[in-house]
Amino acid sequence: MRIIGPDTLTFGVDDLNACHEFLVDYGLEPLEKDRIGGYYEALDGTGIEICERDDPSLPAPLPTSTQLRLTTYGVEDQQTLDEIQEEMEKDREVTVNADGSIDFRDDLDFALRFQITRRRHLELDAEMINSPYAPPGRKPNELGVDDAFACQPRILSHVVYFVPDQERAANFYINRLKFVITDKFSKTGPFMRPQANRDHHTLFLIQTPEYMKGLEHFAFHMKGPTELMMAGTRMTEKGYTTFWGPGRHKFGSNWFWYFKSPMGANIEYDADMDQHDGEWTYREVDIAPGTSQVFLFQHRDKWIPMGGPPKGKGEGKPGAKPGDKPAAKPTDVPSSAPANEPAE
Amino acid sequence: MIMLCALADIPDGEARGFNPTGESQQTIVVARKGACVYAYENMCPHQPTRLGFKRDRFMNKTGGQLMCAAHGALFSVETGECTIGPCIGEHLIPLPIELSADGQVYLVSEPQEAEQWAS
Repeated sequence: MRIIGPDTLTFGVDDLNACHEFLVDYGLEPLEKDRIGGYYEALDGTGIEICERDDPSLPAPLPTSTQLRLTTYGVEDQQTLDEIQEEMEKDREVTVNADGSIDFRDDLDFALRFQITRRRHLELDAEMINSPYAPPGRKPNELGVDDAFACQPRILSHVVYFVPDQERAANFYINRLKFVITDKFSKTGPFMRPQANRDHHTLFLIQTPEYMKGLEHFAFHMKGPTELMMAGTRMTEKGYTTFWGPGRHKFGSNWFWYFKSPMGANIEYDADMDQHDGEWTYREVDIAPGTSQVFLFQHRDKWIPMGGPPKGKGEGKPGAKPGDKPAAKPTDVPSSAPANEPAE
Repeated sequence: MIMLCALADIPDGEARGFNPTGESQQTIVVARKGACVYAYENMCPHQPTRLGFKRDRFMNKTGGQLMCAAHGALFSVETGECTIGPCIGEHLIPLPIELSADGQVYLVSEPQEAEQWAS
């Protein structure tokens, strides 16, 4: 069953203007330049659709705070769509849309759509590094960083649901849609990928109470770690609030930086995720800070460790000149600040 | 008493973030409804993160409730109670606040207490 991964997440939002502002700043491109709302795409055409909460075209909402209304998956071919339709019609209503896509709800009542993927195949450069005793990744005089670099999300990478029964939810995707587990946090939930995608995960499930059911976060792949760090820094400098990161996960090995969003869900930049094939055997551990990330950092305002000797100690000594100013005091984040708190 | 702003600096139905300790983070959120203001620690009861998705962006569209942008939890401006979301039934931590006769908003706290709270 050649399912590739999520093409689109559709939201029925509370504040269309705030979501537009956020998604553009995040780096997605609005398809309709003169409209607030509609489709915001990554480089390959995957993306986010935002509508008013009461838009009658949207599937019924979940009875929780989530603003997610529809997860649309891309598949490789019509044969896969036909297989999915046949499988789902065994026990649930399937709607076939005019464009050939099919709609139904999963076993936990999340609205799903499957379509021939809208992903455009791209030939893009990877983020390259120079590493000692390895062939250089960049040519002489080719720079690794430049303030002029654009930060452009490439692909809608994965979605993460809060679910009240992670085993039941996982079994639906495994048994009915042929997803495979790549790793698992015991009692919390599995990371999964569909058959036509080698990314470590396009779906992760988190066990929660029923009243939390909905979208926990979603992520777009970036070019690489440097682009991720630049994108997150730019978001922070615009005043956006970090939820978690920057850091690097253990399962999937992907770099991460999560921001809060007006869609009422966290949105992640990710980069450099592991890929797997059928030879991989999944790992299982209890979820904990140490199993979830190999390192975690916290943004701080830029500063520079220069400016002369400490105040009152430099006069008359070598290297100090009249009129020298003391070193600028960096702005420290209080030690009690919540985990991953950025300096705003 | 720490003066935060004038009532007129917070549009009706909006909220602003403050940090009385002088650090760069907004550790307090003050929301306005008409002639009333309400102050809370800017911290979600669900997970220890700030509420808004952006500096000074705390409210839902109607201005009726404070929102945690991580998972969409909504909180009553008047009581701080979470009415929907992961921390339903829990409360934001209220902070004492006063509105002076000349329309200035004060946090009722000594500076050292504020530092202790924030450190």
